[in-house]
Amino acid sequence: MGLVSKQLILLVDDDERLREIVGMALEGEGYRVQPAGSAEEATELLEQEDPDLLILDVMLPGQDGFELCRAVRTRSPLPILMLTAKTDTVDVVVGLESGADDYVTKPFVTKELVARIRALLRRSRGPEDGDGQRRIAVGDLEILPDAASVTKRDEPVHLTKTEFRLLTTMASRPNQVFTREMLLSQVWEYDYFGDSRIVDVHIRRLRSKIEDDPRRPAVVQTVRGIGYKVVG
Amino acid sequence: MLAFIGGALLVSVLVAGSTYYLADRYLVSQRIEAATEQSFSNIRLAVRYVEPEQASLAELVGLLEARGTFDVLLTKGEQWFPSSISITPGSVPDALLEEVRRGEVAYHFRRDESHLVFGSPIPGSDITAFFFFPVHEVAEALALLWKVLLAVSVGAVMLAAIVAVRVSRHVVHPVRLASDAARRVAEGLLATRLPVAERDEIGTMAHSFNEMAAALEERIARERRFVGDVSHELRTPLTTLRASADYLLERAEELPEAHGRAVELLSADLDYLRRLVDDLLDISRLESGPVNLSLERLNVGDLVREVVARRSRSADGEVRVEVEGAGDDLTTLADKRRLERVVGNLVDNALTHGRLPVTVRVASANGTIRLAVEDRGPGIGGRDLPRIFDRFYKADPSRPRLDGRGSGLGLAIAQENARLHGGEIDVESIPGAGATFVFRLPRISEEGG
Repeated sequence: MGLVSKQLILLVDDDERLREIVGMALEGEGYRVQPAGSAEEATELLEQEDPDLLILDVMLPGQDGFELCRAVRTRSPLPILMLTAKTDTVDVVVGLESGADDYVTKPFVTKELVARIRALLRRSRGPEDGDGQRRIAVGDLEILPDAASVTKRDEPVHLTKTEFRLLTTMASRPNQVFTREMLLSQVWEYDYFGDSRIVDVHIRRLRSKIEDDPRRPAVVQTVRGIGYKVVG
Repeated sequence: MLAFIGGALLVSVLVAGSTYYLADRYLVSQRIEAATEQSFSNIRLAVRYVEPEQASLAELVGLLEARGTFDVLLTKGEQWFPSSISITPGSVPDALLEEVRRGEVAYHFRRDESHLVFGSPIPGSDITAFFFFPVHEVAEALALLWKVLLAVSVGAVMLAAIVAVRVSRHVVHPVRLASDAARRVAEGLLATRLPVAERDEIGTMAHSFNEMAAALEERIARERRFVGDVSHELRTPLTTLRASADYLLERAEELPEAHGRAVELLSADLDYLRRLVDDLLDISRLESGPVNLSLERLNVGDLVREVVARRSRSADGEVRVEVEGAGDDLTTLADKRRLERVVGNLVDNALTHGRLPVTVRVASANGTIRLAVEDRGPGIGGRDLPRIFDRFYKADPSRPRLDGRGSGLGLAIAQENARLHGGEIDVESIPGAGATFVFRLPRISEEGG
């Protein structure tokens, strides 16, 4: 057929003009944009549409962004990008803990937003080198990069795309230590200095899903002062 | 308190002294009066008695002596008739003898003060009479009085001391606490409070003070929050402005040149606004304290290298880094992002307001890590030097604000962040020969010292 269907972004922010201009900008970049003004509206739309990515402002009237994020996460590995106010404290971490894959602080430069979106969609699409039958075994885990699936003792583990990419990146090179900067670059595709908290929070989330005892991780280990590694 | 006790002592002494003195005089004069009356009475009796020629002086002595507790001596010429053997010629004071022989009526105290001696001629005869009145009861009474007064004085002073201590504890001390607290509040320590112990006036004062301090604290916190709130409110509109400007910039070729230029200008100022809003938020939060530091162990030398490397990508490696010292000397506990902010700000300042070459030197000595950022620019004048860390202070007001990449708050924020780590930033500069900003950071070793 030749028609490449544009990816659909669900954009949730309570400010109307912001929705409009960001929508215009993203459409200019080749995406389809479905705006929503509240978490409730977004929830309805999620049932009707099948977006490829969710952009979510944390400050919403009514149900807040974090709750929506958590609610979505229970159902699907839909990539979620948060829009936050730049704060040193709680918002960013709470958002990441709620299940977001990445975040952008307001006010952002459009290029920045687009870069994050692209990176997120890339890792959500699936593996680049798909030779079909690769498998990585680590501890009780069996990772099939091409199928984007992970099982633990034959039980499927539900990871977000980002968590999956994080695990696979490290598991493909067992015992190699990855610094946070390396992970930010390889997993999140930050080509400038990003906030390493994204890495820490995702490691925490990953551990809570794949480790027998997340407080005493056996698979994803911390190397003090340097970073993380997967023990093979 | 000492003044109070001293005063009490003084008063005691005065009161005791004057009481004793007055008592002494009174008792003595009482005795003299009584003795005088008795003596005159005796004389009257003696006068009647000696009228008949054959009066017996010995009998008269006995009669007189029987009238009271006094001894009697009658003399007639060279004959002496005492009432008791204890009366000797020496018993009568010489002066008294003289006076009576001259015909006067007088009294004297014996030299040993044991007796009051009253002397008088008996009118109508050549007999003189002397009466010896013992005064030792007076002396005894006075001695007792003295003891009592002493005891009472001592007691009074001790009581005064106790009262002074109590007053001091209950009134003076709380008042002193209150004035100390007021001074601390005036210095900015708004969290100062007074302990409310008793339900009396002092307690009420403490309570009112605490309410006042709390109200002040709340007021100031609210005003600080306002800055943060305003900045926060600006984010979304700024986002829309930014996105719109980006949209236009992206399509600048489609615009007439002037339009394109207008969009560029808009975009540049938006950039500045964003940095300003970010910095306002930061400084507002730094002032609304307490601030959470997320501490981790890091090497300052490495951190500096990273920060410079990130900037140098745009500045083409123009900043030199010299790190002195082995790894351990430069390792400390700190909030990484804040330290990066401090170093970044100092380097940016050097690059913006100074001139190349810019050198960053890191060294460690005596438990302090010293980080110096030096540039060879125009330097900072003496008048500006102490104010350079003030908010929005522009050393050179003619310099356009867009020339710098900063909001005017960078150094103020850097200084706050430095202080949060127990450190401080100082600046040295020779106008015309550049400036050096020195950040001193106390090193926290593994053992926590």
